[in-house]
Amino acid sequence: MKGDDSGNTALGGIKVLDLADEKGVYCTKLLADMGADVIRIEPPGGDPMRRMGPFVDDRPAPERSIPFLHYNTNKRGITLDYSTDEGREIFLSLAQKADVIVETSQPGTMDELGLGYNLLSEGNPGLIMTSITSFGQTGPHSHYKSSDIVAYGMGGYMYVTGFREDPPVRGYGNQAYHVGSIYGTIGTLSALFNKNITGQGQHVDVSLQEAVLSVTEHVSIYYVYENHVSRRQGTAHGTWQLDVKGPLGIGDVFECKDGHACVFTLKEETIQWLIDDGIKEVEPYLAPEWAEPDRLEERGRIMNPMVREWVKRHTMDHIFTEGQRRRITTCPVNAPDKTFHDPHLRERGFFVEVEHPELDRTLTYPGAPYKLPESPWRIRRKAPLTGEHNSEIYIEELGLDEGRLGELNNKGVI
Amino acid sequence: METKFNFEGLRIADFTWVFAGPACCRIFGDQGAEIIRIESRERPDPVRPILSDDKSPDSERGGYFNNLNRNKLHVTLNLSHPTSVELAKKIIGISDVVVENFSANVMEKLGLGYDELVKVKPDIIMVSASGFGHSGPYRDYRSFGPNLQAISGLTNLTGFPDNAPAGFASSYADSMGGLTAALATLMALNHRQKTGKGQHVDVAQFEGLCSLMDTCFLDYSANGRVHQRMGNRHPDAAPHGAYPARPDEGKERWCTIAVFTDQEWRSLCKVMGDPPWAEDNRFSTAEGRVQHALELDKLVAEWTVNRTAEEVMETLQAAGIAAGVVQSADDLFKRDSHLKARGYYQISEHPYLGERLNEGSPMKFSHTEAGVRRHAPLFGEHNNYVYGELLGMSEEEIEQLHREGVI
Repeated sequence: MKGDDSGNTALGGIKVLDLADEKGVYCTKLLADMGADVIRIEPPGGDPMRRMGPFVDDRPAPERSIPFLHYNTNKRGITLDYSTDEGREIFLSLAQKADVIVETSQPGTMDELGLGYNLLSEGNPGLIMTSITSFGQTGPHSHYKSSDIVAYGMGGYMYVTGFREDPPVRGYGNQAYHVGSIYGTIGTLSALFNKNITGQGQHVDVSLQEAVLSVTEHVSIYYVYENHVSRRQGTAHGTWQLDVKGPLGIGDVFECKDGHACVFTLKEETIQWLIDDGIKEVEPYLAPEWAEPDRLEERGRIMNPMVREWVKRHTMDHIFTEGQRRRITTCPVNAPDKTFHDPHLRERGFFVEVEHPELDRTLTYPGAPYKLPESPWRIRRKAPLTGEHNSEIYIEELGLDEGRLGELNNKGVI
Repeated sequence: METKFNFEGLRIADFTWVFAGPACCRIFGDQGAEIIRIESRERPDPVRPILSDDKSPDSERGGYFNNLNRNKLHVTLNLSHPTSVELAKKIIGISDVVVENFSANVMEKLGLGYDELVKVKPDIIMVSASGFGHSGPYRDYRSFGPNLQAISGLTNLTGFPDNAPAGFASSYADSMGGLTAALATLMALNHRQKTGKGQHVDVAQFEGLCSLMDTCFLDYSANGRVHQRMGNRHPDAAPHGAYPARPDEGKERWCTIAVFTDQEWRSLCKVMGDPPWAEDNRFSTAEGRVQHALELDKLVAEWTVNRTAEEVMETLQAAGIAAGVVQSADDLFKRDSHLKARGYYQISEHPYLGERLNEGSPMKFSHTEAGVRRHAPLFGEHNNYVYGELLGMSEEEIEQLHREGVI
């Protein structure tokens, strides 16, 4: 079968139906990139995501949408309107053979369509249905409308992100969708692990709000243990609450000659570096009494303004390479083009080139989030064109004939 | 046959510390896996003093540690003691997975590299989650969450264009590194269920973050475009951002609003009482609204600022517009009736810290349980269970290991 090029992949042979919008499209990418046979189901005429820019060569076209290309690698694609009677019948036969369905519709929608978990699992008890929604399947806000920024704000990360003189700001790059998708994938694979043993599938309910809340690190625990409401404090780390402890003592992002750099200031090595660079007035802080745990933070607070002034003399690259040579935790605050050319990522083969004959281009994609030598991440196929696998799946795999396919096409079902 | 938990019978030897590694194991512990945390008082987890009342390096009273290490078991093992390696191998011999987040090479130096582990457990899955991974020019570089956020580009791209990079407020790299390691572990577990083979998984938190950069790398490759900070702006939506609401007892409040379609825009105008400025032709199309977003933001803010954040959210949601309170910890714990109804925060009772709320599981399963069952373990709380019951050592043997300073 064409969809099953499992080979040495981690998830080869797992059949996934992908009904996800932006909220969950990264979940199904994660599964597809590790070998699952993911069938993306688009409405007839194509996925609304295909209209989202930017576009390759800045030429808007359904096969040129960069978000669509990025989030649909390794998937096969069919068109199907499963809200019609005939479409629903086809969907049911696909669902009978599926291991996993990922969907992101408003809670209740799948039930209304006669495609809810209870119904689908009757004939396929091992089925895993993963629902990724902004607020989850239950609760008073489950029907609230949302988007990345709304979930990010409701999840508590936005209130603490940014500088105090600015409004709260959301993290770059739809992070609520990414975190929700990752939890969707973890939930799916956890249920799959269990199903491989028990044969029992499950409905998995993931809330973007809760997903965001669970990656904030400091927001909940400072409230639980110190009754402290964390606020925005720029790049100062959340475990160092400025409202409680005053100016930062462990390190921060500082302006340098050609941008910004991140420097950890709490170490003797940092002091020695300043001394070597001619800043002799920091010498007293190398004395052993300053290394006592209760004085370390105080020393950091004194050092930080000096480091801030001193970093201005240097370039990001110097701070990074010389700092790391001295065993100090430093990094440049990279713009994405700099990260794109980063030698470490290049040597580890993080970026991969994908041929796009239909666009007459080769594009470079970000690659594996992890390295599994026995079952590696790989781009085996680029994102599908609209309805690219209609005949492969409907005729070869479901056994419909050409005539029937034409009929469904004319009726706008596929 | 059904089980109470997804990971019933799965055992993980947990050599992790600080944040990313423990966050990875927490995922499995929350779903019923047996997590054996291996740690010594000689080399305690550096996060132990955080949110503790004694600030001691080996504190057992830290809130940060309690939240991250709930549901886990704990054995003491002094890895600098020569006898410890054999004992560590015995624990690994009865485990399915080993997770560690030391710098590259540390496990090998301890005599616990992957090549050694397969000798005691041929199908072992070893997950190494480090900042930069186990190969490449930065493999020995030092890392810390904010540094990885900086080098990935996330720090630079988060914030407003007319201010410095704001970045993330905490170690997002560790949060996501932990989840990335959990994903990798799950992938390897499925592969083992299928083939019987284990493997050594290399997770670089740096790459984990670079996988979450949306379209910036592909857009750069395709069009040479370098993404910039754009605050809360959205290329296809306006108004889109955080708008000031009426302060509450002097505290700032904010509400997000995201308007994508013309219908949502008309609904918003209606809710705001159809102000004359909304008739402006510049705002009649999505393109126009995006182009004049700055002006639009000011006008919408004039309406939101006189209302409570909840009022803005509820009124707009009733009209079919995406909106939500920018919630502070106060809001999350006290006002959010939805989180409460779903039971997100869960109580555990710690012998020193008492009853405390913990972050819950953002995943709910129809047939199995996920969440908080017990507090973080105390030092060596499960020595007798692991060394005695699981490894079959006698009380005398355990006592002797204790005397020799091995455990």
